[in-house]
Amino acid sequence: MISVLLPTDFSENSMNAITYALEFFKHQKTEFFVMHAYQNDVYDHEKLVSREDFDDQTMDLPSSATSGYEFISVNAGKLRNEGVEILLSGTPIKTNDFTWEVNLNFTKNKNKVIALHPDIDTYTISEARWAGASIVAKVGGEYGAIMGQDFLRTDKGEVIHGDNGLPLFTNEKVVLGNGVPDWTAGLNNRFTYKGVTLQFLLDIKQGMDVYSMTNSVAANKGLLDVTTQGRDAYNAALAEALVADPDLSVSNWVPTAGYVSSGVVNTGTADNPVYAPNTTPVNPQNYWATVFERTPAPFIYDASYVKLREVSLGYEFPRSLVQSLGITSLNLSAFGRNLLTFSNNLPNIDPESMYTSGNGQGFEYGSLPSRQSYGLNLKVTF
Amino acid sequence: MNYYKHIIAIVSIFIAFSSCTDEFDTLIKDPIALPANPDGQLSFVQLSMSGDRYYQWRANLIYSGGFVQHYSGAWNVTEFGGRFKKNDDYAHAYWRRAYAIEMKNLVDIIATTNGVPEKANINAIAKIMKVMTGQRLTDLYGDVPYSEAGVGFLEGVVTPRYDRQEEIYASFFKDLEESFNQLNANGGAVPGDLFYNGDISKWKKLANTLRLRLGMRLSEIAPAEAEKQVKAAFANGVFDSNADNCIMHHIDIDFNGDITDFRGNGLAQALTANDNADHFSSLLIDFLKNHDDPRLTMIATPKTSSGVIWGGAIQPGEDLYVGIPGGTFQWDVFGGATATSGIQPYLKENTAPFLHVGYSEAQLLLAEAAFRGWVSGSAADYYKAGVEAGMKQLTIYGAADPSQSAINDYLTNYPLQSGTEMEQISTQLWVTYLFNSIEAYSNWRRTGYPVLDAVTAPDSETGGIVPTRLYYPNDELQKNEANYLEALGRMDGTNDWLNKVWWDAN
Repeated sequence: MISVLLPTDFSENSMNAITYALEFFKHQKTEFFVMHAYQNDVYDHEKLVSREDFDDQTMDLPSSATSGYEFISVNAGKLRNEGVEILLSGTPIKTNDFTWEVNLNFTKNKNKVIALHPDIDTYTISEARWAGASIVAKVGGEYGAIMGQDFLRTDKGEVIHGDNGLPLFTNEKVVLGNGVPDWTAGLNNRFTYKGVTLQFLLDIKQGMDVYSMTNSVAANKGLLDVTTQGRDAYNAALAEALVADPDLSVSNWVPTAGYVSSGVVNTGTADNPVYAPNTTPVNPQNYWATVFERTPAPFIYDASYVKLREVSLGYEFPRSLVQSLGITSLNLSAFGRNLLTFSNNLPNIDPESMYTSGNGQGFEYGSLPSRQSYGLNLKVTF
Repeated sequence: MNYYKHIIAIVSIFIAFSSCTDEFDTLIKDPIALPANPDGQLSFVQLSMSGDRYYQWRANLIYSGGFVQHYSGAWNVTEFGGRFKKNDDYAHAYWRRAYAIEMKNLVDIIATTNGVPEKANINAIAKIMKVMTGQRLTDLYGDVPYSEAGVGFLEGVVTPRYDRQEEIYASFFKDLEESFNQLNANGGAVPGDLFYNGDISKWKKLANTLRLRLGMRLSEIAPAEAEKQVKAAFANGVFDSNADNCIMHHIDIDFNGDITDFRGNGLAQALTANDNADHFSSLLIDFLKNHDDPRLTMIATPKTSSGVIWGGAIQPGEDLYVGIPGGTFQWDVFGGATATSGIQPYLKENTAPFLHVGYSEAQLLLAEAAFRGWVSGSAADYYKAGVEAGMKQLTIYGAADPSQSAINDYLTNYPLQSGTEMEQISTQLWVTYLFNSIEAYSNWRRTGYPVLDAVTAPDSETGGIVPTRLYYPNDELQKNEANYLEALGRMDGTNDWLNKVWWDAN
C-alpha cells in the first residue's frame, strides 16, 4: 500500500499530482490524504478513499450437501473493499464566551466478491432460522443480499392466491433486500457558553434492510396487531357453524368469514392467467403461520435510522469558587444515552438489533434493544 | 555501512539457497490422523439408516407417513404430511443427511476397498447399501446427484451432476448384480456389519430382494426392463423366510441432543418426541379391524375414553380401536386423543428394531410379478405367504405371536381375488411397510393403492392432492446452480412437489 498526499490548492501542480496518484490507484491499494488549506484554520478535514483487495482468502464456502460436505475450504477467494471515509471537524463559532465545535465522520464502504471457486459462485454469509432466508454474496453481485422465497406476484406486483385464499410462493429464492448500509455517519456538536457545555451526538446509518424474525415469529404467534384482522369475524362464523353442527371438525371447516388477504386469484389457466381480486376468507392463524413458514418478504423492513446517541449538559464551576475549597477544578454534568430513534416504518424492534454479529448483518431476532440510560457525572480534580 | 552490507549479502545468500521443499505431501499429512476404518464407517452408516432421528422424524414419519396415511393426529404429521403443506426443513432433511452422512461414507468405503481381494465383501456390501440410500434419495426427489455424489473430498467434485432417475436405476441394477457376484467366501470378514453379522449368503439374498423391489418399481414406466430385472432377481434367489430379513437392532440410548448418535431407533424416538400425539390413521385401523386382522392389536392399543361422552367412560357398543382420519388433528376427534387408539409402547422404545427389507415384502412383490406373468408360481400363494410373513414380522418389535388360527382364518377369508389383485397386493404392501413409510410412499405412487381418504382441509397447499415427490433444497440454486437448473429443465422448469418422478407413470 502506498500513501499519497494530495494538495488541493487549485493549482496546476496539484491537478497533476491528483491525476498521477489516481493512476496508482488503478493497480494497488492506495491511501489518499487530502490536504486542503483554508484562509484560517477553522476546519480540519481528512478524506480517505481506499480500495483494498484481499487475495487468496482462506474461507469456508458453503457447498452443496450432495458433495458429501457442507463446506469446502478454499484458498483462492478474493474480496474487494472500496470505501470513502471523511472526517470533518471544525469550530464554526468562537468568541470569548461561546464556542461551537462540530465533528462529522462519514463512511461509505462497498464490499464485493471478485472470485471464489471455479465451481461455486455464491458465498452464503449467513442463514436465517426460519423461512429459508439467507444472506449471500455472489461473484460480481452485491454483497449482503437478503434472499428468500417471495409471494408469487403478478406483473403489477399483486400477490397471487390459491383457491383456498392463502397466498402462493415462488419456488426459488429471490433477492428481497440488502443488509449492508449505504453509508454511516456520526455527528457530534458541542456548544460551550462560559462554564456551560451542551453536547449531542447523532449516529446515522442509512440504506440497509433487515429481515426481522422478531416480527415474523410474533406474527406466527398472533402477537402483532395485524394478525387480529379477520379474527373476530372468523371466530363468530365458526361459533355459528358449531351451533349448527356440533360434530364439526374445526380444522377441516371451510371458513365463511375471516381474514381476506389482499391480492388476486387466478381464474384463468396457468398459461393464460386471468386475475380477479381474492375474496376467500381464511383463518387468520393459518394465514400468518403459512406466511411465517414460507417467506421472509413481509418482514423485511428498511432498517435505516438516525439515533440521538448521547446528550450531555455540563457545568464547570468557576475556579475562583472551587479553589477556595482546596480543589483544582469541579465539573458537574448530566447525560442521557440512546434517547431518541428515528427510523422509517420499522415496527417493534430496535434498528440495531442483531441475529448474528459481523458479516450476517441483515437478520434480526429477539435481541434486547439498546439501553436508554441517564446519569450524573461529578468530576473533582485536586 | 560496510558492516551492514555484509549482513545483507549473507542473508541474501541464505534466502537464495534455502529452496522451497518439494515434499508437500509429507508436510500436509496430519501426523495424528487415524487411518480410514471402513468397518467402523459401515456400522455408522447402517446405524444412520434407521437411527437418524432427524430424518426419520421428518422424511419417514411426517412427510412419507403423513402422505400415505400411516399416521395422523399429531401436529406436525397432520399439518405438513397430512394436509400437504410445505416445510423446507422437513422436505430437505433426508437430502441433507443422506448425502453428508451415508453417501459420503459409503463412497469412501468403496474407494478404499476397491480392488482389494480380502476386502471384496465389505466393498460389495457398501455398494448394496449405496443402492439403498440412493434408492430413497431418487424415489423421494427424482433426478438427483448420484454418480458424482459424496466425492467432494475424494475427487474434488463440489457441484455434482444431477443424474436422470432412469440412469440411476440402471446403475442400481448393475451394482446389485455385481455385488451379488462379488460376495464370496474368500472376500474377507466384515466385522462392522450390524445387519447380518457378516453372513455373506444373507447379503446375496438382500442384493436380489432389493433388485426385485427396484425392478417392480419400473412396472409402469418400463415394463420390459422391470420384467427382466425381476426375473434375474428371482433366479438368483430372494429372501426365503423372515429369518433373512434385513433388520437393524437398536440399543437403549437416548437421543440426548447428539444428532449423530444413531444407536437408538430414530423413528421410535420421533414417535415419543411427538409427545405421544401420533396415532395410526383411521384408514389403517379400519382396514385391520374390518378384516379381523391379528396385526391390529400387535401395533395399536385400545382407546381409553369414550368417543361419545367427552372424557367419559367407554359406553357399551363402542369400538375400542379407532384411528384418526388423514389430515385431521387428534383434537378434532370427538373425545380427543384418549378416545382414539394409541401406538403400542414397544414401537416407541429406543430398542425397537428397524426393518429395512423383508420376506413379506418380497413375497407380495412376487405375487404381483406372478400376476403379471413374470415369474413362475401362483400369485395367490405368494400373496398368502406375504401376508402371513407380514403378520409374523411384527414380533420383532415385541408383539406377542399371532395365533396361527387367526392367521389361517384371515388367509381363508380374504384370499387374493381375481380382478382386485393389484389393490389387494399393494394394500398389503402398505401394511407391511408400516414403519418404513418412505418405501410405502414409493409403492403407493407406483400403484395408486390403497385409495387414500380425501383430504379436505381448506389450508392444504395442494388443494388436497398428495404430493408426488419432495422438492429439492432451494439453496442448490446458490450452491450448484448449473446442475440444478439442468435438472429443473427436465421437470418443466419448476421445483414443485406435484411434479412426478420418472418411474411414476400412473
